[in-house]
Amino acid sequence: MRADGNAVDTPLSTLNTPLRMTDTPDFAAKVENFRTVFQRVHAEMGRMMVGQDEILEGVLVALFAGGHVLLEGVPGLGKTMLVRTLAEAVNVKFSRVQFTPDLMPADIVGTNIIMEDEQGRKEFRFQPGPIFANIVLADEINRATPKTQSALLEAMQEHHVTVGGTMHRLQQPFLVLATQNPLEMEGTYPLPEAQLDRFFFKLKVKFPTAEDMHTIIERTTTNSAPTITKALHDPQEVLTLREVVRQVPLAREIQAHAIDLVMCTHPDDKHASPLAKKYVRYGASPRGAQALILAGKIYALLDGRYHVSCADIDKAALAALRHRIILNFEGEAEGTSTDEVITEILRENAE
Amino acid sequence: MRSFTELLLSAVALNKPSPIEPVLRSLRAIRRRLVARSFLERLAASLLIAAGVLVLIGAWRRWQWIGNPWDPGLTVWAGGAAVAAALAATLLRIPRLEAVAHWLDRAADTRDRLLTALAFSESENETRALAVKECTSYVTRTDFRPHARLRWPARLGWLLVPALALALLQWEARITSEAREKSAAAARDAVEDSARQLEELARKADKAADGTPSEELQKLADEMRRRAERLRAEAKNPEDAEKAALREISELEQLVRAMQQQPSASREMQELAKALQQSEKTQGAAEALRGGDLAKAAEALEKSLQEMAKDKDERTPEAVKQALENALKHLAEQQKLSEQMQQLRQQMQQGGSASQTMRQLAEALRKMGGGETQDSQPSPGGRPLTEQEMKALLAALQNMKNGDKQESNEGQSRQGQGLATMESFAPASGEKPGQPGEKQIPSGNPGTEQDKGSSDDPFGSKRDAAGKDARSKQLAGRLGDGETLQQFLPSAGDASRSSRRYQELYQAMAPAAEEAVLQENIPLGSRFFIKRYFEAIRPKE
Repeated sequence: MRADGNAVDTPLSTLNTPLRMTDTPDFAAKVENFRTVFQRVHAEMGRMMVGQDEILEGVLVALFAGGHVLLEGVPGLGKTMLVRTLAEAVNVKFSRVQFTPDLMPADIVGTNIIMEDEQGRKEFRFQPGPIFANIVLADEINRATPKTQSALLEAMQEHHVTVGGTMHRLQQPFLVLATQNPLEMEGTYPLPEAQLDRFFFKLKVKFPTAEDMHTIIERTTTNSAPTITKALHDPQEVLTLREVVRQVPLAREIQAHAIDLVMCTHPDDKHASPLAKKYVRYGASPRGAQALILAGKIYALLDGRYHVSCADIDKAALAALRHRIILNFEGEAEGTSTDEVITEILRENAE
Repeated sequence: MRSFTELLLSAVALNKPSPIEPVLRSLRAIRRRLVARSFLERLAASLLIAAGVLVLIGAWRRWQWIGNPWDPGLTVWAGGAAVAAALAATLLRIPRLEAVAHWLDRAADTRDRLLTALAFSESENETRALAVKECTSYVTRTDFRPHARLRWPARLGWLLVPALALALLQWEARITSEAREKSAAAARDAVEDSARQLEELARKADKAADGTPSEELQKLADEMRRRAERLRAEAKNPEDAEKAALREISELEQLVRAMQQQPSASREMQELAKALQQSEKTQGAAEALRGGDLAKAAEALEKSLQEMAKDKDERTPEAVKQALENALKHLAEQQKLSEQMQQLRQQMQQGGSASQTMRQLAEALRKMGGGETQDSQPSPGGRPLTEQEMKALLAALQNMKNGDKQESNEGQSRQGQGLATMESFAPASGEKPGQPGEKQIPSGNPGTEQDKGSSDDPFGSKRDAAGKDARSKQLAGRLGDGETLQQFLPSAGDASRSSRRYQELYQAMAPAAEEAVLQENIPLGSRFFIKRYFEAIRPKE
């Protein structure tokens, strides 16, 4: 669906046929293909995930923008299912790491182990960890120690890991989907700000409605469980789609709007909102503006436009900025959420 | 130097239609509507301000009674100024196309297509051209006019408030003006009788002065006419008008009394002539004095002196001396020549020679004659105002006052009293007050008899032991340079407004404080200071 309410006409025949982005002649066709792929993946995931359209869209936006996603929600909402479904739909390699307090960095990135070849010679050989996959699910990431959490930093930002002085590149596309439970805070290690900033989006998984619950139960307690169809033949097509996203033009006024949003989250800025001045300790980083622009471009493409609008930026604001804003003690004590701060900033900018 | 081909190409490029021409056309059309709408908004605001100013000016005009609160000319001027101000403000703030695009993007929810089209209009980039094409296509098939519809500003309705205020002011001013007119008319009616009586009195005075010219009478008549005119001119409301009439009449009365108490030099001459008339030898001088010829009187007096010296007449000087003593004694208290005459009288009483005294009197008269009439003409003042005329005037004025009071209380006409006063004015020649058959001239003063009820005080005027009228006087004094005795009476809390409560508080707390001081282990050396402190805060008796 387009933002203005008009349905995007997508031939049904194309939904059943994997697309090859390299065949598209011009930008308009690339855009059209992007929308088609996006909708197909979304539709496939929607068959497995019920009532989480926003989460699915957010995850896909992060995938095509080249970012990572932090999912926050109580257990049992299908976070793992979501990641697995995404991997199957995009036809990429998937791995899952359950973070525990005794998890070590080597358990994630891998380690050099002594291997004996056919001639009987022994040598150190790198044994890749679960991070060497296209989509990595870091389940309950806040249960691991900061040391282990930081093992993800290099991988998430640089898309490579260094073990024993040797740098190992990760497969592309590379997407980390981390989950954390907001309820059980005892014995957890909150993610440091530096690591939080590396997530493109932070999505809050909401509890499904009663109607959605009916559908979930019907699908999971019978023999008629849906199967996932691969939407892409080649995982590398994701990278091509990412290039299309980055080609979307952006007017300077729209870019200024995104920058204004980020600047308004800083309490020291002259345009900061009253709520930000009162409750925010640190505002969003430049990565926040990058996330806004990239997500805005994807939303514009999904809307059938070749340019980004302020509404696209605003649509991405909550997911892109909520984990990049650090509240001060007063804000924490008052129970203020970063979503409230962002909402107020959006309202003030709209006025 | 650019070649002709380059110029031609640039000209062609200039004429080349812009790819966003539909966008520009739509934006310009919307801008015109926005400008018109802005003008209407500013016009409404300016008109509101102008109307507010008109209300303030109207209220000020009403307060100051300058004129009608609502002035059509001023209203036209204010309206014109409001239109000009709105027009100027609108023209000075015509929005740029980018601002219009930004506004329209928000208003029509175009997803920033207009702004993007403007931003990418000059770009040759493929993706940007695609974006411009999409935006232009969207703009072409969209009608933006409903988002910039011309409508009357809502705040224009608020103009009813100042309009209503002006109408109320105008209505109130008209009602108040009518009331003031009625009040002024009533005031004029109230003072008309008094003014007419004053004019009638002045006319009678003129008539009385026609026979025997009197400068004082003429002056009085003029003064009465002037005050009558002033009464009519200054009559605004009935109460003040009556007070003003009474005040004018009282002032006239005081003027007449002052004239009455101030004897004129002519009257002195008459008294002197009367004294000289008693001796045969000085009758010539007396006649000359009555005629007002002082030089001739002096000459006649010198001549009679020479005759008396020649005849060695001892009796005549003594008689003249006695007559002069009486006349001077009578006049010395109230005449202008009193000092000179007092000196003469004192000289005579001290045994001065009558001849010497008469010589000095002749010299004084010669001096007076030289000062007043150098060509031996009669005094320009003419006939002085007689005592009878003074009393008649006073009685007339006091009757006017009393008549006013009676009319204000009883509503009776004062015309008859005024005429009666006029009839009693200027008694016939030869008549004297107190003679049988003379007309009773009302004095105007309350009676002084006890228990007669004719005075304001039922006990009559106060009398002292000597039987004379006693009047209380208030002496106004000023502190001079002499010694003064000042005494300050100290009291507790004289600098405070609650000395009594402080006393109560101190009495309640002092025993506890003393007890505490006694209980505490205070060094002996400090006890003195503590005791002194409590004594210092003790309230003064």
